[in-house]
Amino acid sequence: MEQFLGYLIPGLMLGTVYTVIALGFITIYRTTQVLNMAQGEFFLLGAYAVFFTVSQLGLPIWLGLFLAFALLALLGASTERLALRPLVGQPVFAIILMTLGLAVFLKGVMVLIWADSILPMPSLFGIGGIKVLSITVPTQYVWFAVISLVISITLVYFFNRTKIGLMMTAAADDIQVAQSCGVSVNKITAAAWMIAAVITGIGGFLLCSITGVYQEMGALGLRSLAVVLAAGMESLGGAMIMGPVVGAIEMLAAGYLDPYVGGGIRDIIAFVVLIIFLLFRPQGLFGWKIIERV
Amino acid sequence: MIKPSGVFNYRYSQDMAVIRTKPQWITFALFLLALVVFPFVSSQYAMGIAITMMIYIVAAQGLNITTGFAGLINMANSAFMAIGAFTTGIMTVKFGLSHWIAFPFAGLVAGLIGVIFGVFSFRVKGLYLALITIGAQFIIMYILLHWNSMTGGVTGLNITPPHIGSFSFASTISMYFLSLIVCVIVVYLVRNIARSKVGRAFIAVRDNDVAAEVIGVNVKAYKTLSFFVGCFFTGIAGWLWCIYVGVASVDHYNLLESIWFLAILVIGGMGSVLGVILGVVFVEALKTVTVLLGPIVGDAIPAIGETIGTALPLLVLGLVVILALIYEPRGLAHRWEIIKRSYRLWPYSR
Repeated sequence: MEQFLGYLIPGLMLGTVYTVIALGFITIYRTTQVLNMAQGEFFLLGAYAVFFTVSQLGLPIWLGLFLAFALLALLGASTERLALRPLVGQPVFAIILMTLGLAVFLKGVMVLIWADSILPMPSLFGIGGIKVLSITVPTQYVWFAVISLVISITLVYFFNRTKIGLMMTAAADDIQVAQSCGVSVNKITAAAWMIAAVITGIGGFLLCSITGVYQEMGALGLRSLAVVLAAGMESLGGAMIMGPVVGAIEMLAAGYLDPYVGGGIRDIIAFVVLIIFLLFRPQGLFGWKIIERV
Repeated sequence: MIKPSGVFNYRYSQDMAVIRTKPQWITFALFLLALVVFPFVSSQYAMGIAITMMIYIVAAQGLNITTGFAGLINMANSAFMAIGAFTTGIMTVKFGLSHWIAFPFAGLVAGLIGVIFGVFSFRVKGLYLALITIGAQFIIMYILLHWNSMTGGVTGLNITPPHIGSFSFASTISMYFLSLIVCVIVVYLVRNIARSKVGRAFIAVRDNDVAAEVIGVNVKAYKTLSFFVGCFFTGIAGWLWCIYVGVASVDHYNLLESIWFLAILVIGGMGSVLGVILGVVFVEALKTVTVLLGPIVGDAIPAIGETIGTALPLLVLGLVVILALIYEPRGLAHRWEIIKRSYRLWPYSR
């Protein structure tokens, strides 16, 4: 039991990172029907941008954070404008490949500037332990989980209660009706990309302030696709539930299965979850619509 | 399709002919002759590039059947190539069988594992199938890496060159001809599958699966078949590749390599046999230039000298994919058709 909780609780806490990345995926997918495969790179860029402004430029941390996320919002908007808008009306294959191309390009940029080593990040939270259900967890994890949850709840509030958020939801539901009601789809799309880039970047900064920032962290982007699919492609609340669940599954699988399969199961268990969901419940647990089957 | 001036089809066989006129036959024969003569006049280095191109043409034609003709996005192409390579490795190293016995099995095993994903494609399509095959890429490579007793784990399996009697395919020149023969046969097969009943059924499934089903195409059977045939050819490419580099190891077959394959398809032109060849030549030439250019740029700008070697291929791949999708979404094959047409209509073409 002790051991089980020892895997479960950190898993649930670190799983909130999947929620944050998945929220980025969902924000973009809801408004534009684009699944942005470069989320992992946005995630990593969030961490590198903060490293750049705070550690390399030496700005005070709050100014550095502001500047870093402003840069990220700019990146999100320009990505949409330069790369995705020319592809409106193209088949889904072209859009997938475009975002994959973007992911590869951004990875190249990051390798070029920051090379392939672990860089220390400015730490926000003190080091220490906190007792949760008889398990001692690092305080950082708790802070991380709390901030991720706050971001998620803010985003759900934003989508359901504010005007821009409701416009986005309207565009997600039916783009033509939304347009005829006076929603500017161009602005909404740009806003969605900016929001997604910033949220994902914040997630990246938070997690990397615990672990240090290195290129392999970008792999989390594709792994959080499992959360997006399990939640359903449009459900923000679903992502909040499924993120920690997938995180816990990963930790438990790593804890109990690794001795039998020779390690590294953590890297692929999310894809197993993804395939199982796509096969048996492709609309996810909380998705809006039934996916077209053949 | 515009024929050269003064050429008319009187018989069905003329209408079906891929190569129609005498000048075209002469050009084709000269081209094949050039391919045969090439290794005797070129350097080892150029021959290596040519071999790589031919092996990639085989693998990319496989992907072209699944993704280009049948429209099922397969993002795990390099993993299927790895299955072909490791099947060869296991059969020759662990079981001591001949490479020639392993040859069909490399294709069959990859094809049968591809069929599993073909079955997945009954339930989901488009974006969702792409996600499943991304998952497949990671899961297949994980199994190959961790099944130590069979695949040799991180180090992989060392593969000896195949031989017929006492003649061994150890030299680059013999490898060149082996790849050339396989490549020509595969291109011939794919070109003819594409215009047969099966190929037309694939295209019908791609363009509108409901309509295809209504006119009597068995959609499920053809989806499965497209995965089988596509992965079969990719597995064959895996057989060639592991013999060429002499080792079956997991390093080479990552997600990035699968993205390169999709890039080849987009740059060359989806669902075009000629396009895939053009795409492979373009992409491999670009890779070679990138490898040569890396140190030069690194020397010129010392600040990025250490990382440019790793970063440049990524930057180039990303940029090429983005630019191709925006400016040339129908690929080089389409551009080639335009050039051909304006040449034939000259002086009346723009």
